[in-house]
Amino acid sequence: MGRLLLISRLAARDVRRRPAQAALLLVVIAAAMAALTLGLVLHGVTANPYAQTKAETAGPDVVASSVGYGSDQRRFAALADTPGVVAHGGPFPVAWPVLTAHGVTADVMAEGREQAPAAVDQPKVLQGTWVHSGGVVVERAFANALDLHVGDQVSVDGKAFRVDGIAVTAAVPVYSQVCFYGGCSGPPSRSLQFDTGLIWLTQPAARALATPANPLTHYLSLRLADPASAPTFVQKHQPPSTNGPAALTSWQSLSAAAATLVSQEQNVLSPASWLLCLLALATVAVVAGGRMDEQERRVGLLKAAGATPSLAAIVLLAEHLMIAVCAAAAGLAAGWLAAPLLTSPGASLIGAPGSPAFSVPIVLLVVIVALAVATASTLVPALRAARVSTVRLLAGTARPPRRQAWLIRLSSGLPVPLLLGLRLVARRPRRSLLSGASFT
Amino acid sequence: MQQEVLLAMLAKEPAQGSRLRARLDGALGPLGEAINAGHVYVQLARLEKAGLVALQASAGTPDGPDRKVYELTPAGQERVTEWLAEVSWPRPDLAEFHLKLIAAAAAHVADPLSIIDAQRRELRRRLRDAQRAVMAEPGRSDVALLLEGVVLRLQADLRWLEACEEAWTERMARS
Amino acid sequence: MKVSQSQEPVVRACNLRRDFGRGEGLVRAVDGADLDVARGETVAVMGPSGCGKSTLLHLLGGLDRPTAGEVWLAGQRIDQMSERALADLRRSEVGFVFQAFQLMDELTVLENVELPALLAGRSPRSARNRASELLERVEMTQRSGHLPTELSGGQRQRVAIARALANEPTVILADEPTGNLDSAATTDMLRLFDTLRASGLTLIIVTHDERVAATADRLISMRDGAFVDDTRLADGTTRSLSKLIGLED
Repeated sequence: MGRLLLISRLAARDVRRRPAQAALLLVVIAAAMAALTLGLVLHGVTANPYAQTKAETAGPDVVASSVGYGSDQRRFAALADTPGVVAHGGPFPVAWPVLTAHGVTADVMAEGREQAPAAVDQPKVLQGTWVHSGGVVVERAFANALDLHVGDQVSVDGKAFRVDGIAVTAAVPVYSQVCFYGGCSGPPSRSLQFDTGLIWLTQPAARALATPANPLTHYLSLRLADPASAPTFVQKHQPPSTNGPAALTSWQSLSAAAATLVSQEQNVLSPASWLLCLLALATVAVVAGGRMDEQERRVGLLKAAGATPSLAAIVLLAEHLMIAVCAAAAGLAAGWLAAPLLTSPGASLIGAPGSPAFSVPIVLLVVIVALAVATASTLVPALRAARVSTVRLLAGTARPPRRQAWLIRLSSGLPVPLLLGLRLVARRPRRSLLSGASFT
Repeated sequence: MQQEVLLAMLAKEPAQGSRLRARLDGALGPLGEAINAGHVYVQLARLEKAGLVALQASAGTPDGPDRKVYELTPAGQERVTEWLAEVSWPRPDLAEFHLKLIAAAAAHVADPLSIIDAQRRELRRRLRDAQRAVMAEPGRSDVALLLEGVVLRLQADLRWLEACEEAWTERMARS
Repeated sequence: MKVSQSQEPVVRACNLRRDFGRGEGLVRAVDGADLDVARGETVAVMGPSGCGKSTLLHLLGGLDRPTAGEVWLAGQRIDQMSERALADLRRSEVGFVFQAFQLMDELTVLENVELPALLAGRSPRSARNRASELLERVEMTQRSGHLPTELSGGQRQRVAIARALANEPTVILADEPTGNLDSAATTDMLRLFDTLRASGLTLIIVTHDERVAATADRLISMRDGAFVDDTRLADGTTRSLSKLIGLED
């Protein structure tokens, strides 16, 4: 009990005595941990949320757009009976109106759906309800972008609708990438001016939005007996390409599309976080190196007062561990807050970063790394505590500065600042090396 | 002991010899024991002869020596003022020992280093006594202060003896 | 023949040697010292600067390892002990007062003095009580809440002495304990040592100060790492004191 009090008291006092150093260590380790957290979190964001969304929405293995079939609509409809297909959803009518909400205008792909759930590709409603007459259901990323909430009023091609719900799907790439698959599969006559979003509404409402200039297209979702063979299926049954978008898309392509959203960020973050980690290590090493004499003396003082070497080491460690735990917490929090900012397009998928992707293993890993860094910086004095006599520890530097006679002679011809600098560097090579390393 | 001390003691008011004696004892503690009992009266008589003190006129017959009350004369007063302002200090008397060493070395009759050693032992013995006496006295009494002075001077003398030892060791080694 | 506990020397050194440096720069700080200190003895070690007094003290207290020779402390041989075992032994048997005090600057005076007690596993309350008691003994109570950096050299010295007493050691090893004290404070310190002696503590004091040496039972003189003298001081008589101040005509 007394020892515990002592350890915490000594740790707290030392931090109070050198607040700037402690703060520096804290900030540096926290920054590195934040970068590490982001890297780890983003690493898990790639395929997983897509797979999760696909599973929860009965996502399709192949999606087919009628646009790619041009005049051969029968072939389009016959896809549902192709061997290898075990279930299908649709064909659903798709209109391509313009939506206005909160003063913002966007092109939308408006799918007409039934009340009853489809066998394949039934979007999962996260807020509100599924399609009703007079209402629309908005895809989540699109809703976030336009700041739409359940109950808001929107105008679709001039007609007023209310937002009934917000949902996610695995059949269409997320907002702003909707036009990824098959180009923009709107009718050839339609030129889209804005980023395209996705909404669902009742089938009568969808049909009502069609105009001769802007006709309906249809879309069909298929489930295969062998989902892994979707690319082969697509290749086999892809209609000859007219100068238009591809008609069939496999789920693998959709998954890749989802992945590209975060991989860009990840491409930048991964090396950045490694560099930050290295910088953190270097800074910690320099700070630790600079403190080593002082820490050794502290160990000596404690031993002189009667502490065992292990207790003295624990005192040293306690302070650094405290800093490391705080830094890990700060880094994790910073990473948690920053991750959604970097991956919000991925919000359309279930499992947005910031919640489930933030798993216990990540937290543990970050904490362990922070602790390891902290421990390493106190390692040398802690080891010496057990091996070196108390008097030597108290004396401070065990090794007197080295004197190189040849260097003295060599440098005697140099201008004075250079001469002094060179000789000082040579006297304490290890410290100079650490300082130099941290500059790079 | 200086006559002026008694004069100074009479400066405040006239007093009997016994009272002066008591004051001295109070100020000197154990060191005052060596002072002869009649010493004060002898001094007072001398001072009277020198005209620096006078017997106070008292009604009735002159009694025994114990009952005489002395007082300062104007001349005595003047002497006290003078004395208080003086800054003379007892001089250190080290020449004898110094010459002892030189003589012993020159005549080869004794080893200077042994002489120094013996003297050191003696001074250490005295220092021990003085230090003990200091510690026996309560806190910051007058006596303690005086004894402190004794101690410090012995300490200084011992330092000099250490210096002598260093110097003479070197000298013997050279010859 | 079995030597009884009380007769066994509490500190013992056999042919003790401590070298520093190598080759041409070799310095023999302690050169073949033999020492036996009985329980309850007060030993003063004197000598010119650089004669190895401090080094000797460090060796006797287990703060440094000898190059050769044996050191025994409280009946145990310490020159080969691990640092951990040394720490345990020192904590319970030795109180060391350093010349440079070696207080922890980040702790207050009171916390410094209770440090050894806390290290020994005492409860915070009992450690604090003990520390308050000790600070009273060295008359530093009114500075309990100050940091060492706010104290004068003499005050720090007193705190260091209080700290050395925290775990009721058997031996006190003191390196120039009155070095920074003025005359009155030195006397107070010597009074303290007297009471410690009276309670049975063994004291080994390295000192420049003849006054401190004068109160010891034994005086060892050192020169160039070796003992050149080991005497017991005899008492004189009080009467001779008055001769010193020229009171007689």
